Amino acid sequence: MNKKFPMRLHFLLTTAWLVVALYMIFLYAPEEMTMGEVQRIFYIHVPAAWVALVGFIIIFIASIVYLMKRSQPADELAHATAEVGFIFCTCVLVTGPLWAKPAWGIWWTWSPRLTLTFLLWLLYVAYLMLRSYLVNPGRAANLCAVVGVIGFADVIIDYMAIRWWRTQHPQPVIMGGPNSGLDPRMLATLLVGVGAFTILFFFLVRVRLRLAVMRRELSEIRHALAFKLSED
Amino acid sequence: MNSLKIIWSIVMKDLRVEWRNRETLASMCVFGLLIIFLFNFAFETAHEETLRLLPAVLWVAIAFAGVLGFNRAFASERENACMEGMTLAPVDPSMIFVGKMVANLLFLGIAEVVMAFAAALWFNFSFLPALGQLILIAFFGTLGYAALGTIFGAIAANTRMREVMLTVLQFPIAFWILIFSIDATGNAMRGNPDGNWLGGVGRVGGISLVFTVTSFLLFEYVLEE
Amino acid sequence: MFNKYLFWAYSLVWLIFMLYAWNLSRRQTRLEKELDEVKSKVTESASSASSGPSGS
Repeated sequence: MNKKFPMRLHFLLTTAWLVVALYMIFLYAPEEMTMGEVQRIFYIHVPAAWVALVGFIIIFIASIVYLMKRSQPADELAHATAEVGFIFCTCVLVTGPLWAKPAWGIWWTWSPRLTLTFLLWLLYVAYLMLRSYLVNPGRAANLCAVVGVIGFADVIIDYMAIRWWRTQHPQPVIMGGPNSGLDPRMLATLLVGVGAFTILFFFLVRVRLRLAVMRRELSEIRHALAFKLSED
Repeated sequence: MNSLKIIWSIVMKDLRVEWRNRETLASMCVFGLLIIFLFNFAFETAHEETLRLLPAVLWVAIAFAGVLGFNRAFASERENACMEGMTLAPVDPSMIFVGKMVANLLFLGIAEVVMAFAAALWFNFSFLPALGQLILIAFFGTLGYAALGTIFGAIAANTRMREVMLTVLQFPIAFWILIFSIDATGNAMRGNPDGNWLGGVGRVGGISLVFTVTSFLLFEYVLEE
Repeated sequence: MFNKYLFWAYSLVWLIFMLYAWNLSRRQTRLEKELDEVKSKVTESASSASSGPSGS
């Protein structure tokens, strides 16, 4: 991947795309009728939520690959994705209330998207805590992969269960669905935003992966050194 | 060795160890009782509205008592290097999982009976009319919850802050088992006003089975080096 | 029409990313330092091995 898509190019592309997205958010998209300027938070809230979800899907796939093939790069990818995904998920939870309060008068509600995001955030926290609290590094990959798989099963169940729960306990309709009656310019802005965040996500994951590769190099050299010293 | 024999021997081992000082069971029961007592005292018990809280209070108490039990289930194994012993034994790890899970299920089940008695007493509510349904819901809910508690207990036993790690893993993932159980229990207690009691039990059963099977399949990875 | 919620939303998101970027950069410098230390130890032991049979 590094040969096909060098980091520098990735960085430039990310920056450019973000600039375009920001332009569209502030200067191209029309002002929303009922909420006013505050609605522009939507253009980072939704893409961040999308990326956070994709992140966990990647963790799931990487975990399965690790359990089946013991591939260390898969484990490193899972860990890197977990960190970056967690950052994006936090952004969703930060922007959500900041949008909800001026728009609908409440800081929080258990709407499907916010509930799912909160549960997803808890899963990210659990995964990252496990990574940092593990005493035996040899087992870390195994255990985290197991949590990655169970966690993703939970995400699927979350999605279905929340929908069922909302039919039992209908809430006042706050948002007529994310895409209901969306001005085409708003939709275009949103899509560009999703693209920008996605490319940013993968850029950050690659940066984080560099750290993992360095750490692997470090432990390999240490091993070789210890072996060599024991020979002398 | 026959799989059932293995499971049986693990369950009997845990029961025998527990019987010696009954620490785990006692603390689970006491902890659960305290939670129910707290909620019951904080809200006026004679009111109809308070009964709405009963399913949630019960399952919250079960949830916390359960986590207490799951922590101890693997703590003693860890201390006496039994984990390594189990890993080395020529036994299918999944059978170890089933054994530990059944033991956890039994202990939590006994604690639940104690808690149910106390709740019925303090909330002035009889569980008898819907007893069969409630037992089904309690069984399936506890099954899924114990399955997750068993695998997460084994995972958390490898970490520095075991109790915290188990809790952090358990609650987000067992969340819907608890919510569906609370919902079904409430429905049963109210005499199934929608007439659809099978749906509630089915939901709890379905989600519990999903998590039980997943935990069962993944447990071998938790034990291997 | 400057909206304070809009400001805080974008600013906090920006801050979160910047904090993470800083965190990554710090970890990278630390790892690079460790790598350099270990690499120098390797060259040390290599040179001491070649300078005489006496073990370290």
